[in-house]
Amino acid sequence: MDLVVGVGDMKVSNNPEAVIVTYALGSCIGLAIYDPFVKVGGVLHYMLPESSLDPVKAGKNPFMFGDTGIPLLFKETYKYGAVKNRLKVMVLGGAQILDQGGLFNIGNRNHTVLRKMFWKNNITIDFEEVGGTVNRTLKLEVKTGEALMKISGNELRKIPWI
Amino acid sequence: MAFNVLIVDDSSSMRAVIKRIIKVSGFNVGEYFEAGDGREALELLSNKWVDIVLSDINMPNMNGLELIAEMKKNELLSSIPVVMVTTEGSEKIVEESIRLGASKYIKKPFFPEDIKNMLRSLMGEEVRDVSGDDESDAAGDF
Amino acid sequence: MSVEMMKAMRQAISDVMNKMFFLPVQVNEKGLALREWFSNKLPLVGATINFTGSSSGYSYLLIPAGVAREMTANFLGIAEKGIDVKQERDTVKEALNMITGHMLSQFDRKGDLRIGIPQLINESDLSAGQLDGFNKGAILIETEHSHIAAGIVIKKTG
Repeated sequence: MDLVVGVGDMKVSNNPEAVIVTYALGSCIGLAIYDPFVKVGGVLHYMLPESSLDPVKAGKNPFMFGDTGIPLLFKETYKYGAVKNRLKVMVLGGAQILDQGGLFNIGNRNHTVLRKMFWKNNITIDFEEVGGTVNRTLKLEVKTGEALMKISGNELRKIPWI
Repeated sequence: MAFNVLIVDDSSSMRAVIKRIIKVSGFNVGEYFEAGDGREALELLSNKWVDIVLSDINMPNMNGLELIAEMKKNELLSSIPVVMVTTEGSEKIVEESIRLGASKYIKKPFFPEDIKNMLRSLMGEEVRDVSGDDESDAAGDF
Repeated sequence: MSVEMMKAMRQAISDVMNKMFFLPVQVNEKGLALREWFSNKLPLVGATINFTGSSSGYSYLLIPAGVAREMTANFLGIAEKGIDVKQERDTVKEALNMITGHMLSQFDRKGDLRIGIPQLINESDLSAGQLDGFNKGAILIETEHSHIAAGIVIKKTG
């Protein structure tokens, strides 16, 4: 049973039948977390780094922004019994799709805001693949915590994060 | 089993960062020691039990390469692994560090996971429950 | 400064500011004098490092005090409230240390150049009137809300 996470979206599940999937992570970040003890997994797909860019939009959809979406993802998994220091963390995306550098490199800014929040909140990453110019797809199997990644044009491959 | 760490860097901020990375990574650390240069580090090593040293290279009074050389001369200190955590990244310096006996080499800037994975490879994956730790230093909210 | 060194320096600034201080940056090509670049952004915190070897010279980093505070908070992962001036100064020195070292490790792979220990620049040398002294070799950098500057001055080559 596929739970699809769209752009500016988040899904958390403890349903053993569920596979959480998100597609076309270009400059967006796909953040997956999983507690192997209670078998709870969640995926966030955010597009922009900071909600201050558009507070009205952030109010309507906090999952569009890293700084509002990331805390919500973690807190939602806690509701299902996940414990912070048991959570495995995977980060994909943040690609530079258009030829824009510096402050206009949204992929890089999305990644940086995640890194900043993780540092403040004592979270380390178990697997990360960011940057480049490719589109990535992420699949998380809730029953086992197995994660698969696909880079456009290539095969799905298993991620060594658990 | 718990291990003691010595962090050697002339930047007190960098020492604080490395210490925090080790803390949040969940390793079973007994005590943390800090030194601002190689000379201070040697003095500390002469009267504290240290299981691993993380050291910068470029420091006043005694640099990181001189520190390793001194440690290797001393029977009591020669088997303590020393990891360079440094901006110095030329082939010459990396080779020199390894020749002198450095166990690993991490270049600044680094991600926290670079330190975590390095420690895991040298000290084993002994993960303890960090949930009870005092996180008042952290500025987080989740 | 050679084109290669300039390119390596720009990359190093971006890498270090993003990775360690979580501040995305962008080089500004306007070619303004530092006095203009930092108008309304004083006081500054600044550091220099000498390097020697097949060439000799120094690198420098100039940061408005507010940005130094933000960088320190980001670096240490703590709230700005708890930070003191000593920590800010140490952070700026370490930032320059990392930028210069990272730049040299790309530009000078063989290790012909050695960097020294970072030194703080006296506040009195960073007033508006004194900034002209740093115009040479300056790279103007925009952060999201402010300006910083870094540069390299080669005194002797060969």
